[in-house]
Order: sequence, then C-alpha cells, then structure tokens
Amino acid sequence: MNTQIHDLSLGNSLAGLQHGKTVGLVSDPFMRPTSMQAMGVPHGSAPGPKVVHSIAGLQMGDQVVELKATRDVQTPVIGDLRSLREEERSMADPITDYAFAEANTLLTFAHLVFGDDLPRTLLAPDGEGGIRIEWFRENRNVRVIIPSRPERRAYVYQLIGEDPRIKPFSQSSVVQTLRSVILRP
Amino acid sequence: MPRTDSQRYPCIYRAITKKRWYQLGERRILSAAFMLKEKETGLSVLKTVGCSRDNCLATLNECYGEFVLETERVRDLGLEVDDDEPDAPNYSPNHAEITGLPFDDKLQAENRATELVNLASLYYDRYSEYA
Repeated sequence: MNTQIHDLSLGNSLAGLQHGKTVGLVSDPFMRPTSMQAMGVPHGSAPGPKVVHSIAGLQMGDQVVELKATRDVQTPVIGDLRSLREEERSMADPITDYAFAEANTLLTFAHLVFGDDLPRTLLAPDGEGGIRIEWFRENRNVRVIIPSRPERRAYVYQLIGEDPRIKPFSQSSVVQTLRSVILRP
Repeated sequence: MPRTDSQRYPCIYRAITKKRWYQLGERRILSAAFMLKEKETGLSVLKTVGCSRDNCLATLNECYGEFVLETERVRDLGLEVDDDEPDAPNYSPNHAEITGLPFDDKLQAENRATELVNLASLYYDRYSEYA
C-alpha cells in the first residue's frame, strides 16, 4: 500500500520520510506491530532500526539523520493477551505460538475496526494451549475459540437470547458477528 | 459409574483451576470453566468442600476457589453426575464427574457450557482474588 504524505493527518507518525516521497508498509524485523497503524519508510531504504518523525515535523523540513526502532502503543486487550500467555507459561499446556498469533491478529484487527465501541474483551485459556475470547452485551454473547493447533479448527459461537449458532472462524466472520450481535442496538 | 446421591449431596462444586474462569469486573463465570478437554470423560467436581487458603481438598496445584451447582438441576439439563468407580486406581470418595457432555459437536458443547454457567455461582474465593 503506497500512501502520499499529503494524504496523512499531521498526527501520523512516519519513519524517515522526506516530504514528497511515497511510502510503503514494510515488514521490519525490529518493529513489533501491535496495531495496524501505518509505519512507513522510504522505498529502497536499508533495513535496520527506524525512528519516528511526525508529519508536521517532516513537513517543516526536519532532516532525517538517524533512524531508530520504536514500539507501537500496545492496546489494553493486547496487553491482556500477553498477560494471559505469561500466566499460562508454566502450565502443562501453555498458550501455543499459533494460538497467540491468531488471537493477536484478530484482536488487533477488531480494535482497528471497532476501536472503543466493543464492550470489554474477556480472555481465558482453554486449558489445552488455546484461547477463548468472549464479548457480552445484555443477553447476547459472542465467543471465538482459537485452538492450540490449526488442524483443530477455530470457530465462532454466538448466542442471542436462546438462539445459538456456530460458524467457521475468520477475521471477517468475527467482525460481522460482533457487528450483528454485540453492537446492534 | 454410580450416580451421585443428590439427597446426600444436593450441591456439587467445580474447582476454579484457572483464575480467569471468573471475571471480577463483570461478576461473570466464563464458559471455559465448563468445556471438556480432549480425552476427558467428564467435568470434575467435588461433593463436599472445606478448602482453605493453605489446603486444597482436591490437592490441585492451581485452585482459586469453587463454583457451586445444584446436582439435580445439572441432571435436568440431560447430563449426569457420577461418583468415581470404587475400584478405579485414582478413586476418591469426594470426587464426581458431570458426564454426558458432547465433545465433537461444538455447538452442543458450547450450549451445555452456557447452561452450566447459568446454573453456577461463585461459592468460595480462595485467595480473595474476586473480592
């Protein structure tokens, strides 16, 4: 995805950008993305640590001298996910890398889509290395079950009153379910 | 397995082995507390309790307290509550299981978990985690 500097709000942070250059999303081994906020670097720049300048600063002619790694701001739910992993680390079946990565991606995406509109996200281990994620509103409930291994198949469970349903897991199915079950008036 | 005598044990107690099974802020029991794991034949419960901060009657490594359910109301869901087999190698006179829970049928498994959550309440908060 290429983004022109003039298309971005002044509050955006971009690494090493000079005015007028286009940027692309890059996968940087020094960055640990916990949000989907775009982090850009000039095309063709050498891999390595990056430092973040504001658009306002760059538009006022800041010169990029050195690039250093920065960390994205961690959302509370991702912080809670990491806490869950730590709590289970010494258990017989700790949270697997697969389950953690899937949950991390899903929760990051859900936060990007819904922001603070979602009620509190409740996380629990399934006792076998997987993760169960739940949201509640009144008599409505959505659960996402992420197993310890991909071959066990994640799924989404919804309950509206006494009408339960189950569907295959995908990020879009979770978003659609949250929108239609939890966030509907 | 012999049926748990509900006259003698009108209530059964599910040990809270994962702190997150009870969410303090929401005052809510999560369905994770009543989902079968692979290779489990039933959900372990106790017939009597009397645990303290220093002593867990179930001798569990991790136990944060107990949820309580009425034995016959569990049976009203179509499930069963059974004592250990007396000749089983790990027999315990105080141990029972909620059996008849589906495992492969995920929709039914989640539904049964929902129903058990609705029957359960927090009985004992061992470390005052939920106060």
